[in-house]
Amino acid sequence: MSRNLWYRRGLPVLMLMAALALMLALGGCSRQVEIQQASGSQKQIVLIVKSKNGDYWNTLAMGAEAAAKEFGVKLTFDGPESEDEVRGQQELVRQYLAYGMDALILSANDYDQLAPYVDAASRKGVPVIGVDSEVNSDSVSSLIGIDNYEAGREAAGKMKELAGDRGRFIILTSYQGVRNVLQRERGIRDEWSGTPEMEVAETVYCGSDIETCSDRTREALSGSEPVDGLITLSAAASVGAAKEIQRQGLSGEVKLVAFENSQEELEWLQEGVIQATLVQNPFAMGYLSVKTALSAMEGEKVEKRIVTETKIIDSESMFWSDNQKLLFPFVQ
Amino acid sequence: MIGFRMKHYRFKSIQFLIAVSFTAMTIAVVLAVSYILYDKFTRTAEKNTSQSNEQTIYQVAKNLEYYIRSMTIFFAQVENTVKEGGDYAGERMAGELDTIFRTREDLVTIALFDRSGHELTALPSVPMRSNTNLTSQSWFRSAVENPNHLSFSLPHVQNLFQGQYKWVVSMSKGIKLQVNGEEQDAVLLVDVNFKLIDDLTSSVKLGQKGYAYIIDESAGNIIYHPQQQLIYAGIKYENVEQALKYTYGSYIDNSTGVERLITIQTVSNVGWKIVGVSFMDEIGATKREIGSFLLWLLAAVLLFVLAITLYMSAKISQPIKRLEKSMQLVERGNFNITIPIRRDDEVGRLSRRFNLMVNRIRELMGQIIAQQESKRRSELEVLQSQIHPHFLYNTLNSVVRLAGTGKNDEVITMITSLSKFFRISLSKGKPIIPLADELEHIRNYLIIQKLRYKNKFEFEIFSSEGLEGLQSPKLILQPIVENAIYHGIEPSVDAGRIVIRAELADGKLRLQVADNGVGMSAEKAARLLLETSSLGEGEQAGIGLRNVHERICLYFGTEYGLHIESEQEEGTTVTIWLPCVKEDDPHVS
Repeated sequence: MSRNLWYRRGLPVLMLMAALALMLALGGCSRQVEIQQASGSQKQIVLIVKSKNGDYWNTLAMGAEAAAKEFGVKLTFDGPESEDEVRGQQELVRQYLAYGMDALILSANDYDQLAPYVDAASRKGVPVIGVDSEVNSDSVSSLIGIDNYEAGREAAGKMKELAGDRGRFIILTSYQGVRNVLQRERGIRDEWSGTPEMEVAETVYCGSDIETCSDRTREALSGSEPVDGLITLSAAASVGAAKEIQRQGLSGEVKLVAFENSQEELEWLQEGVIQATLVQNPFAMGYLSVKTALSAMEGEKVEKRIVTETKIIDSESMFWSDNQKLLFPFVQ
Repeated sequence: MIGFRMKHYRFKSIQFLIAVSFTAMTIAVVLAVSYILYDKFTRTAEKNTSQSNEQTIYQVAKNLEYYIRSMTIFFAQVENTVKEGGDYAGERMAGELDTIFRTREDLVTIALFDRSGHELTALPSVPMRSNTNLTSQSWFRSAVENPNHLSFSLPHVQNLFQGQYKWVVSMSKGIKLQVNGEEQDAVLLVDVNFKLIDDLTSSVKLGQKGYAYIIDESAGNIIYHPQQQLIYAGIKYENVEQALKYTYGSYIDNSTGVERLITIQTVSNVGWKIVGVSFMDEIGATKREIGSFLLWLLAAVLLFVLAITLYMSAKISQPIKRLEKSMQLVERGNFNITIPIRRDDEVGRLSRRFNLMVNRIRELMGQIIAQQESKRRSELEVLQSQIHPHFLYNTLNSVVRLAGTGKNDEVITMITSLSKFFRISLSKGKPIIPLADELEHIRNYLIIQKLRYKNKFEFEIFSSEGLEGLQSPKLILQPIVENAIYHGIEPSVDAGRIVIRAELADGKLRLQVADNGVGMSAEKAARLLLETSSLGEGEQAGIGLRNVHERICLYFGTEYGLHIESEQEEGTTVTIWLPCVKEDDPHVS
């Protein structure tokens, strides 16, 4: 009798349940779609570069942004005002780590002093990708950038060719003790080690201010011994040196082999004041760093070192179709 | 053990069968429908995607064509201005060109050069760079090589003027100018940036990730790509070779490892092709969405059907189970049950029949009990009649009287007959005896009675040939003959006569006892055999007859038994109908 009762009373309840299940099923579907569209769980990647200013870093950020857009992640771009601000960069890393992020892409202003911050991020489970510059830490999942030593050798080789295997040269760069610069310098010296006539007179540091770099160039050129050429390892140094050479009317006489491809450098290259420049591909670096960061976030194995290409461009080859694509960022 | 039996029971139950078959059927139907819908939906989705892509790309091509045409018109306008201006270095023309230049945001350069590459006039008004290699640039060369033909260059960086390096498409044409009455060759250049091309192309929505790019028809160089920088940086790659083979249409491309739907449309007036790219996995996402929707639907329908089926099958099998329980009770011997009938369906009707059946069984059992009782009673009566003490006493009295009068022969006859009479009466207690014995029995009885009644009547016994083997209940004739003597012959004044016949009639055995006694009225004769009839005075005789009649009916059925015919003062004939039963016939036990 009790079972009968259950059946009789159970029917409407059952119907209701079934109808509810149906509604849930249908409703569940549309809700799922809504969630997909909202996509609240967008991953956040923070890109901290050496300096917020400069064509090089902006092109790198463009590459990173292109990758972020393509893979549907949020990219935050930041950096100190100047490339020598180690404390400022440390503070930025600390802050972003406190806010929370899914991956950090860092171009360290100092090889040793950023290491503890990278380790801290790694301890929090945030993968760190190095771009352009190395950090003295095993926590870095991958380093993306050129081989600076080889780049130095390439530039030195070009200078040797331009100067006819002999001469007295000055290396002009931004700051002392920067790892990339040290490696490039070592490359230059090693390249010339077999040619005693190729002599490095001195290494001059002029910071990131173009005027300062012009001044330092003037001082170097006005020394007792003649200078046959300059190798400038940063954009500011290159432009500063070019300006001074142009001002003194020494264009062509004092050879200038530069690094990087800022708009101003390219102008000087076309004018013939800069004979050649070693260009990197910061756009590709930015793109690859985000792509690698995503792989690291997914827990995939990433290559410890990704070497990006460099190329020596001179005023003759700068408007070759392929080189145009490398030198001039495509902006509407 | 119990569990196994339970299972076994449940798998064979109607409820289970209904639930399973119904659910299976529903699953099959829903699956089939789902599959068909899924297939149809996905096909339609793919077709729609391809169609809408083609439409979109066609629209972009049209817009681009329109833009190119407008640029051509613009170029002609500039050309006219330059030609009519005459004095190309003059204020008026510079002003006019400047006005045109400012109205459009997609212009980078308007410039006029002579054959050797010297600037005649240019906008923007900034100094030209040195080392431009102007005369070897493709736009200049094509203008010189094909004068009066407007050519479009590939994207390149314009390096002519200080302060900017811009990616442009150059429109150039070799024209003739009238300078101071002299005809002079010149090259007119208009550089256009990618703003409008970008607007036209990036507004294309081909799914969420899809995009469109523009290639050059002749060599497959990329004119514009939303990710141009990625391609320039060598990170991205587009398979333009295959795209070059098509003028318009769609195909699936796998070259990048991702399945992509490529749609192509040619921009006729400039020799460009628009290539639309959309990702098949987005269609796949739609597929998955539909798939999961159908899956949910399937689950819901299943749940619903399962619930309904369980309910329905329970509803159907429950009354049957109830019926089964009731039948079990009947099986155990309880006939006093009635199933309540809830509704007038098959089971209801079955229940009603069951109730009727149980009723009938109950009735029949009552009848059997009554029959058994009456059988036992009549057998008791037969037993009684076997030792009829009154008859014995009378007979012995007659023997004594005969002996007293010295009629020895008659005494012997009487004693002998009495002895035979009792032998057959007893017959070892059997209720059924051969017909011959029964006839012998009645003969002895009649001999005794004839002697007792001092030959007041005669008797004859006739038996047809071949009846010896037939069986008869014992002592059925005696009560009838007794009645004939006491109620028929004795009251009569005439000489009595009793005739007994045994013969076959209509396949039955017919025994007849006919007397010529006083007889009785037809009504009385009819009433004699009725059980319910109240017996009046002198109707005691009925008991014996009725007893015989009931015995025969109990043994052989109601088609057999007694039939009485009588007429007042003429006599009575009692007919006994019996079946032809041979000895050893199992029917009689």
